Amino acid sequence: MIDDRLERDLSRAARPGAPDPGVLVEEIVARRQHRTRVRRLRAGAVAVAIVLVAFGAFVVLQAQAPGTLAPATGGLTAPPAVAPPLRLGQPTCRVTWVPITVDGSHGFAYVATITGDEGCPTDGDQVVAVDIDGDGRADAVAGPFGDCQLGCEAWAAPDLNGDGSSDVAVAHAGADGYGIDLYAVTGGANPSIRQLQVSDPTGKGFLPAGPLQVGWVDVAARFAGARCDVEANGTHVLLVDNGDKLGASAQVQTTTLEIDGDRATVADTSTDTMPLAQAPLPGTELCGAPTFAGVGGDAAGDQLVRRFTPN
Amino acid sequence: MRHPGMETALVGEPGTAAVDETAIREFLAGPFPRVVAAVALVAGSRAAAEDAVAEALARAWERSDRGDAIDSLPAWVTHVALNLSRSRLRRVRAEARARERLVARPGPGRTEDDRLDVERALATLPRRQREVVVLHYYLGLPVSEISALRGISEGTVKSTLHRARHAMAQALGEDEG
Repeated sequence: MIDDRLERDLSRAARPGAPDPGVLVEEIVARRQHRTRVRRLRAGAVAVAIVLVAFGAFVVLQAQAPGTLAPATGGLTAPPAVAPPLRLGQPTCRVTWVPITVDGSHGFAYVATITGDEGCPTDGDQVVAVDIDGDGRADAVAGPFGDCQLGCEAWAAPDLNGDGSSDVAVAHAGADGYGIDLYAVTGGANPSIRQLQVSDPTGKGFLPAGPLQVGWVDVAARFAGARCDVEANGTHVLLVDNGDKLGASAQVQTTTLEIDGDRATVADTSTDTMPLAQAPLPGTELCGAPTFAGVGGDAAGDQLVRRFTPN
Repeated sequence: MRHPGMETALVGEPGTAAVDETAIREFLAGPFPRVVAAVALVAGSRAAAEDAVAEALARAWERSDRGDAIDSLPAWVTHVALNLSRSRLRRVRAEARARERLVARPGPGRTEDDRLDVERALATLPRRQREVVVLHYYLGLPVSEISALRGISEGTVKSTLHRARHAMAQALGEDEG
């Protein structure tokens, strides 16, 4: 009987181990303190943002008051502050977005859950969609992808290869950081969004071939992140870092990637030990583009609400 | 079906006291190993499971500090740890693969040869089916509690369990009975 076997063999397979309560309590206390610090920092950042937005709105209203001339604008309009509801051709929920610019056109990248028979499933299929011209209609879609129960989100719109067009970063929230998937976007007559694929002809990179995922985490013992740079010959590169904190110093493994379309080719690698203060710790921007959140990994933060759209 | 002691281990008393260091220590001395083992069966990694449960406990403590009520700490931690083990695994895998190229990592324990057939068969199931099988057959929870714990309807739990049971029976060459 399958029931008997499942009960018996699962118990055997699981083999509960005895924890060391002292070590575990210490670790849990440290995690709790870290979470509390991150929450306070975020609350402070939100308060500052609200003040800045209010001040900005005041300045704009003053500039457009009767009797004053608004600055002349030409060409494309600025992106709207809030994305329109996503039109994907099927019901969606739990939608987050970031503004993008592709070939000079302002639009949005959305990450959305496909609505199921029982409403918005916590572990449903998710997709990333781009609306090139900002009308809310999805011009290209990638996915569905899973593993998003803690909250996948449209996280940033960096220009990874310096071509002037946005790429899209989708974040999978984890316990103390994020896994970041990077997508290349093209406009024109046949818009597309495709996940970057690592190609490593020499086999010397620290990243597995296939879909590129970057860690974004900064905790007591380690960190992971990415950044852009321009080499002496003018080539734009993406640097992916994984580091261990060793007291006041850090050992960092870096893979240098050249981005061409959806291909991320390993061009160089390095392993360096440096003072921790000089280590490339991740922050709140990726290649100059603001990220949706920092390194705390808490997808339930206030900023998530700001970016939801009512689908 | 229900394992002895699991009534108090996972369900607990509604409206129990705030989560503090004493509650954490009681949890570690009580349901912690079984919850870790259950999450490890679903996630396929004991290290990731221990990490997820520790993080869930830290979150429970922090929430309690903020005044949020947690009716049953074991149930809450199981639910959150199962969720955490999902996306955390993605990053852990990616980082582990990257590091393997430079340093030989100490093995976590069992090799592929040591794994039981049922564990291998379990690993082939979709995530939700794995969760339901472990919650039902390992932790001994009835359909109604799985429904409440995971926030899905009892009908979905039953159908998921049925499909998982069928797949496991086929994989293991067992009679469904």
